[in-house]
Amino acid sequence: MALLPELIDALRCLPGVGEKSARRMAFYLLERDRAGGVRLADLLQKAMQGIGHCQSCRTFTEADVCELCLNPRRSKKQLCVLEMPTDVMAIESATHYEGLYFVLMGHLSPLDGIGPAELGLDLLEQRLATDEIEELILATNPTVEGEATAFYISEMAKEQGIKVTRIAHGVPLGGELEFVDRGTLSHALAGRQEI
Amino acid sequence: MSRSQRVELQDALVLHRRPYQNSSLLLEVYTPEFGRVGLVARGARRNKSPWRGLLQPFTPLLLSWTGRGELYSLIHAEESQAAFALHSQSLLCGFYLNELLMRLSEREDPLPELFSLYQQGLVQLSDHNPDTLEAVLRLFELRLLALLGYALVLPEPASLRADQRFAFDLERGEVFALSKAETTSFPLSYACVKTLLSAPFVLSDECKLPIKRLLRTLLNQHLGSKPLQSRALFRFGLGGKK
Repeated sequence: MALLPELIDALRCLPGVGEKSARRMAFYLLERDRAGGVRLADLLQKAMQGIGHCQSCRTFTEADVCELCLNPRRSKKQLCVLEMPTDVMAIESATHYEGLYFVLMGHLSPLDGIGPAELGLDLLEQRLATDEIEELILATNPTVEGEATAFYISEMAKEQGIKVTRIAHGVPLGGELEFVDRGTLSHALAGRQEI
Repeated sequence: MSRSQRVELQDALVLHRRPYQNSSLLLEVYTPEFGRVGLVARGARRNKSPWRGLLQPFTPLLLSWTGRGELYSLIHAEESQAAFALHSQSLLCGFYLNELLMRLSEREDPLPELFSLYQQGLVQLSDHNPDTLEAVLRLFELRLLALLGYALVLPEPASLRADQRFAFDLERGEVFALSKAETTSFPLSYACVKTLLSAPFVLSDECKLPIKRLLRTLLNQHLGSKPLQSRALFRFGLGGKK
C-alpha cells in the first residue's frame, strides 16, 4: 500500500473515525500542519511505549506508581473503586474526595471473558489486606454489569472486615420526577434518607 | 432467514450487549417466536438516547426490528414490565443463566418454551431466597438440556424403590438402577433420583453436590472445551450460610 492510503487506514483505528474523517485528517496534516503531524507521531510513539498501568491503582501512568497514589496529602483510609480512568477525572473535578482510587478498566462481563483476574481484583484484594483501608467506596456504573462487579468486590472486602459503601443513585439535581425513568425513580425511592 | 423481515413488538430479554462503533450497541436478545436474535441498537449509547438504561439484561422488553441476514436493526424498544429485581447473589446467577443461553442456544431457533423457562428462572431468582438459588439453577439446567433435545433419561417414578442404588451413564445420558453386584464410577442415591424427578427442586445438602456434578458433566459435553466464564463469579458461594 502506498503511504497515503496507509495513513488514512491507520487513522481509522481511532474511535468514531471512518473512511471520510480519516481522509480529512490525513489531508489536513499533510497540507496545513506538518509540524503538528510530526509532533503527534513522536508523542504517539513515546506514549505507546512509555505509558503503563499504575502498580497501585491501575490507572494510566508513565511512572511505576501514579502521582495521585503518591500524594502524601491524600487519605489512605478511603479507597474508591471505579470502572475507567475518565471516572477518576470526573470525581476529581466534581467532588472534594480526598482518598485514593482503584481503577478496574472495565466491569465483570463473563460472556466477553472479563472475569475477576482481568479487572486486577487480585491486586485489589492484596491492597485490602495490606493497606490501612477503612472504607471501600464502590462507584461502578449503575448498570447490571456494574452492580454485579460492585457485589463481587463487596464480598471480597467483607471477608476482610472492611466497611463497604456504594455511591447513591437517584434523581438528578434540578430534574423533575415526572421525567425520570422508572428504574432510577424506584432506586431513588428505595435509597431514601431520613432528614 | 435471508428475506427481509420486520418484527413488531416482540417480547424479549437481553442476554448480552456490547459496545459497537461509536455510540451503538450490539445486542443478543432472547424472544419467544424467534429464539436468540442479534440486533444493532444504533445510537443507544448516546447521552440523549431514549434506549439508554433500557436495553439491559433482566428487563422485560418489547422490541421491534427490521432487516435481513444475521444482524437486524432495532427500531423500537419499550419496557413491558419493571425489570426483574436481581441483586447480589441472584444477579450473578442471572448472568449464569444468560451465559448458558448464549452458549447453548442457536440463533433464530424458536423455542417458546425456552423463553418461558428463562422467564420463570428470573422470577424465581428475584425471590432472593439464598436457600433456593442453587435449586433454581439446577432445575434450569435440567430443563434447558431437555428443551435443547439432550434430555436426561430418568427411571420411571413408579419403579423407584428406596433400597435401590443408581448410576449415571454419560454416553447414554441416562440414570438407571444398578443390580446388586454392579459397581459404578458415578453413583447416585435414591434421594438424588427422587429430587431429579420432582419440580420444583428441593435440594437437600446431601444431593447438592452429586446433582451439580451430574448436570455439569452433561452440560460440559455440549459446551465444548471453553469453560463457562460466569462460574468464576461464584467464588463466594451461593446460599445463606457463611
